[in-house]
Amino acid sequence: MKRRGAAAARAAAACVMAVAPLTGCGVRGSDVIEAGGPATVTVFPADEQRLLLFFVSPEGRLTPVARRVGGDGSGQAVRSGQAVGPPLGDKVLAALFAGPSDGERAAGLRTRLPRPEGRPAMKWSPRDVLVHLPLAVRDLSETARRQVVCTVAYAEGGDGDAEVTLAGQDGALPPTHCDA
Amino acid sequence: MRPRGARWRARAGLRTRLLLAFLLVAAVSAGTTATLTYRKARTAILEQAQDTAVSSFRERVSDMATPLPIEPQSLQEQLRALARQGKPHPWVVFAEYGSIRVSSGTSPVSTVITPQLRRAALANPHGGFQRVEKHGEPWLTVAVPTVFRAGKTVRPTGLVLYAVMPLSDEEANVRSMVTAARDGALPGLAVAIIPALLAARSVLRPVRDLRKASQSMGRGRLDTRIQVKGGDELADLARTFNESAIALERSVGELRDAEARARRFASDVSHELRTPLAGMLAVTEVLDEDAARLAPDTAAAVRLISAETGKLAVLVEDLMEISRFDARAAELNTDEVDVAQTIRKTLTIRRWTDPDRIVTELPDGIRARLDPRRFDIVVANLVGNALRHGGAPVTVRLRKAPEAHGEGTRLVTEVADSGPGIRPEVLPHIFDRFYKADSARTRSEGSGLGLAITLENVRLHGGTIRAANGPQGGAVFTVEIPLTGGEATGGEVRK
Repeated sequence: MKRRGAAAARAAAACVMAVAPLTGCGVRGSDVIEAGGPATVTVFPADEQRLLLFFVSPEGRLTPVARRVGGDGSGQAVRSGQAVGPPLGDKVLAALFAGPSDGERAAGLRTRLPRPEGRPAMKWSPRDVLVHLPLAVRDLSETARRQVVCTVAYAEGGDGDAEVTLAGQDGALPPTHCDA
Repeated sequence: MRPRGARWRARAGLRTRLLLAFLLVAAVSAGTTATLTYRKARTAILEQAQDTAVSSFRERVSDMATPLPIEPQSLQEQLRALARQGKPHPWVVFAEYGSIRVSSGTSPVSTVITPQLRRAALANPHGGFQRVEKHGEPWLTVAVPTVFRAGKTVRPTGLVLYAVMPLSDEEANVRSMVTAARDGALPGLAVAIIPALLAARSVLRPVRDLRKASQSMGRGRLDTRIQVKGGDELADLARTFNESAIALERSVGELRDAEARARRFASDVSHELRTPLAGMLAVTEVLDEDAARLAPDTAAAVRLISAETGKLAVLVEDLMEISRFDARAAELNTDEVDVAQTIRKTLTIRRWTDPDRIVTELPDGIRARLDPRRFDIVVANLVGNALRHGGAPVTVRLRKAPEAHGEGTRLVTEVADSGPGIRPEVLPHIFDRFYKADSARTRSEGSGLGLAITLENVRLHGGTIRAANGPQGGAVFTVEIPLTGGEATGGEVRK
């Protein structure tokens, strides 16, 4: 009698095991699953008619803004090939240090850079760029430095892979890339 | 023979066990198959929906053009256009850029998108999705971060687009698969009962045959055989049973033959001894008469020979009588008699009339069909036995027993003595042949066959005899004979 009871219990357990996976499940939640790359969107104005400035999003991420060259109050329509006026790179730096525009502020973008005492200057050569800032570069936060580095790397028709050295009143920082 | 309930339980047990085993196997295989199929199918359904959603969403998003920072108004227009193109189901599209939240729906922020998905989309420029259960329904949330081409590389724009899509259709599909699996498995289990029952029957039928055959053998029908079908274990068992039955029948037959031979031998010996003994008896009678005139020693020897010859003659007569019973040659010659008179005649003939020794309680008027000669032997043996081994007075009682236990009216004759009674260990053997109640006494006055002959005579009347000790001590022999007559030939001894 006892043995038969145990056998019945075993049988019942096996049946439950066999049927249980069928009953208690439909579509269940999952973790985040990576699927493919990002979407490449078109940003206007196009490459030649814009300058990229890097500001900081509310999450603390470096976020590019594309300003039309010579459009709003960001800078003059001066291309790098033209000799008149201050070099374009300097204009870009001035625009960066001027901070985000009202529209950009509305989108939550901020800058981590202090307002400089003088005018920042940029010396450009084909593979590397030297930036002179009228402030103490060592006091800048990492994000602030990257704001400058990336902005500079894409300025002057650069394609973002230039090596940038920041120099200031307290000396120079090691050269670095925008993607680093 | 076992009680009916236990037999039923055992049979049900075997059948139940077989059924359960079949059902278990069916359930496990159906369950496993259904589970594996279900898992695969569910994965396939979901993967298809997810892959379609992710790739088509990315494709649509890739068609977008936006300024940086974004313009919420125009972005909303674009999102609405995008939502309409949702595949496989309409999407609700959300966009997040900096602190700007825009959506194609009414609420700018989704409640379904989890912080993990947001973090993953911002941290890596990779598409991603997550299934979320919210409000009791499954949702698919897809995140596609956007990048743009800047110089030789691509850079994240900071704009992340999310598509939220209900998976209710997929859920319904999956659920219908579960239902289908269940609805398929249950009839499958029901169908499995049929082969289980057939298998149980094929096992139980030989078992039932075996049981019947065993019962038949037990009732003495040694020629019982089982029909052997097939070559499985049960057929082997049946074959073995048949072989055992044959061997048993042969042994029993040999034993019976040997017994018959032995009985015939005893009968033959008795017959052969009768004639010389008759001669010897005649001679010893003559010698007895002349003993007085012989020398005392010779006279004693002659009397001893005479007495022993007489005993030998009685023994031979008893042996022949019992041989007739063994040979089933004993016949009942019934006559309707007054039983009390018959008993009194028996006692008178044997001169057992001393009221100090014999007490009778014999009501007149009880008539029965009996074989008077055999009934006389019964009463004489019992009374003689009581006088020899028990003690006086010996009481002979006669009465009619009313119907009881399905038996008819019976004639009951009781012979009780006033001796010490029969020892319990002796009681079961009291009717055995040559059984010596007292092992120290090697020679008895009787032949040793008296009670055995009594038993056979009572049986021949269809009656029973039993020996017991009375409440006041002393042995009580009770003979019960059906009053209806002696047509019954079989009886049994109750002890």
